[in-house]
Amino acid sequence: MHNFEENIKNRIIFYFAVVFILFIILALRLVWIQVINSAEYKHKALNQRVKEFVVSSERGIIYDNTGRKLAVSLPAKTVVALPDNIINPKKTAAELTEILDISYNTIYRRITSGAAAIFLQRKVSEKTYQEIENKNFKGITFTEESKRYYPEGELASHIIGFTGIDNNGLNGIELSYNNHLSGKAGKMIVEKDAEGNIIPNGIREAVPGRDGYNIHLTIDEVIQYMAEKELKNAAEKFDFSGGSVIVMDSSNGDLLAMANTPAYNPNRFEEFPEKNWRNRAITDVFEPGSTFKIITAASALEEGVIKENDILTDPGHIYVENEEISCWSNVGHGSQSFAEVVKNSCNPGFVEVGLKMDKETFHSYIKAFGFGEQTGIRLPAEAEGILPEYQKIGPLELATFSFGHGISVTPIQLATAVSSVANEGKLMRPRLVKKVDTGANSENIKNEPQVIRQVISKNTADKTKELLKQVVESGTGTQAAIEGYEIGGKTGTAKHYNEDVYDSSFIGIVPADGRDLVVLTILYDIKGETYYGSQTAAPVFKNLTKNILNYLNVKPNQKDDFNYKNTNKEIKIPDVIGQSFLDAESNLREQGFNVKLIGDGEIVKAQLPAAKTITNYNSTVWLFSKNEAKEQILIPVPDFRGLKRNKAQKLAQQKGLQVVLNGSGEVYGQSVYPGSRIKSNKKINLKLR
Amino acid sequence: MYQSQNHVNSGAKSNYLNESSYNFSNVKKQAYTIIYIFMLCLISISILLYVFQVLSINHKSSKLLNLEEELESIKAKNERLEVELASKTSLAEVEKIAKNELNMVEAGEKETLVYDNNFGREEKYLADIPKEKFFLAQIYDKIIKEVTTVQAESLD
Repeated sequence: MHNFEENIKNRIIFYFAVVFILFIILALRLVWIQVINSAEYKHKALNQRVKEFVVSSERGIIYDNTGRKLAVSLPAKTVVALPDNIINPKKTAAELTEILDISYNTIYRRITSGAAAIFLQRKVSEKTYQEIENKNFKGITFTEESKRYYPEGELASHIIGFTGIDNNGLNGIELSYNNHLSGKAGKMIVEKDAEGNIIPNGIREAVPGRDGYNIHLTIDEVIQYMAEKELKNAAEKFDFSGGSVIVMDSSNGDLLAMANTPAYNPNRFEEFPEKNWRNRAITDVFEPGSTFKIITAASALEEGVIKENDILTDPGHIYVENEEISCWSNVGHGSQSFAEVVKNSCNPGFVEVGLKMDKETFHSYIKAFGFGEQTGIRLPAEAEGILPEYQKIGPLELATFSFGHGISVTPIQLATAVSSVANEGKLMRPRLVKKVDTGANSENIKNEPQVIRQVISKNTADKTKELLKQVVESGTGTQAAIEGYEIGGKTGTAKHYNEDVYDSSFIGIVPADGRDLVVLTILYDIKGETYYGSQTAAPVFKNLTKNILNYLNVKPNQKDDFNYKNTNKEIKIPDVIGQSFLDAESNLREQGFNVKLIGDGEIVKAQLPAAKTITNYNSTVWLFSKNEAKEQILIPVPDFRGLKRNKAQKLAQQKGLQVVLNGSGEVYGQSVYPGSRIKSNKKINLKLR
Repeated sequence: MYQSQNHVNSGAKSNYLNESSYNFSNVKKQAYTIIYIFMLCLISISILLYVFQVLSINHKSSKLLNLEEELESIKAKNERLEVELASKTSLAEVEKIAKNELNMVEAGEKETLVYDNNFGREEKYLADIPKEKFFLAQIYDKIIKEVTTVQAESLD
């Protein structure tokens, strides 16, 4: 009995000891976890609860110059699948296929993949989000992202561009100003419970990011809309591949509109062909044709080689290096002043003017007007235009340049160059972005108007403008005239080589409240019977300009008579040979002549036209320091046929040609073919009867 | 029994010997008890208050979080509505509604009427007026002037 009790007591002691030891071990383990190794477990626990995520910055807004939003960012839901939580993948995939734009196989493959979480479709619409949310799928959740949205749809789409799925600019301002618009992402650290809810009073730290800067454009939404609408209307009337319109404020280079057709909707850019994305006003080159004559005229007037009253002749063609260059008028324009040459857009007349300038001079003016280089508008893929290499430019190239062929320019280059004529000769950098709004804490980045250079003098610019006004008033650009407004402009039609396809354009200078607007309309690759700039681009210009003037509330001016005044006054050229250049020049200028000096000498050795020639008041007399220099000059031969003896003689004198008259009456034959260019010492025999 | 009596006796003896001290320690004991109870209550209340406050703060924080989320969603909704408004009032949309729903048409030729202030008031210059008329007009003006002009009285 005693042994039995002893046995039980021992057993109790033994079990007690075992339990005690176990407790001691447990306690030691607890001390190990809670005291000695507590930091590690604390860290592990914290890591489980604390979540760190990137807070993406909001992309900046793009505004027009009236403060209307053209591009904004909105939160959008992305559909995320958690494959481990999906109970019935087949059923889920089938139901999701009906809502999302993804095939069943793709959805099924994704929701059965080994990933912990996988994107199904990013940035879905609010409607799609609500549909999925209402179905309450197990294992399908959402995450919030930012999506770019363009509230005005197609409006100014070529300027604004668009962004990709990761909100990076891919085209237009979105691309070129991506650094300013995108901002800097921030970071957020929060403590969450097992269900993913934020623990109140838990850790909550934020590394602030920076939202993207807002951009203010110079574009006027209303003018842009009008420009796009006119292009759409033109597309209904004419058969062309596309068109561009530029409206520029010449005083500061601000672009008020830059429209292109075909257009696209940047909200759904992927649904349109890539050619629609192209901003042709910036990226494409075209042969400017007669619109380039503005540049030729301004350069020649500035250089002093021509005056409005100088007599030029057009027998319908001109020969340069044995190549015949025809006028658009088959019969030619006959004898005419330079002002009439501009009005009639006469090609041989312009060739004669272009060739009066030497290669270096004309080339330097073309470069000075900004052709052959980027304008610096800061839009992606801006073309430089095509200007033949200097060494390869000969008389024939100079001749074709003078009427806008053999040279390719971008619409923005042409608009900027003509703006300089409208802006007293000052070439402005085209400005599309007025201001980058960097927020309250820093100074805004202002893009001030920038004068690139003074290309021509104010006098020349004003004179060129006057000549352009008569083109619209009574020349080739009458289709663009608007009653009560002093509009100057020029049409242009360039034929594609070996094809009956044309690029037609019109560029106009429109006075609007103390500043001049330059409006350029181009229709590319026109086919069919109606293709002249005066028939196609000029009416587009007229409709658009009318609407712009109405919108800007520019009143018509009925009182001012702005018709170009052609003087009929004629004076006799004095003999200045043997005089010093200085005396001769002041003498001629006093009498009302323009003077062009050739050579470095001090004494006048030759003059053109010759002394005693009766010619137009304010026409050009060339003075040479060497006789040889005069003899080198090639003078186009007019068509004397049909002229009376006196008239033929007078015309020959005015041109500086020598004629030998045989017979009396009217000229019926001439020894040198009209349009040929001959030296001044060569005599032309005229037969009269 | 003896033991217990003894014990009682010794206790009585002790009470008797230290009656004043007995009273004093009794009061002290009671005071301590009251203090203990008071302290216990205070600590309990403090703990309860603390717990209540913590709960309340957590509750408020949770509410704040919910409100923040609500604010975010309202802001997002507001932005969406603003954009929708901009879309609906875009020029293209306005034109579509004007043409298709309100049957409006494009404006035709605009006629500007200029109000001429000087209409019919032809200015006549000296050279236009015949000499005789000019002479007669001068006499007429002189007479009118004499009749209508009143000279102010001088002080002297």
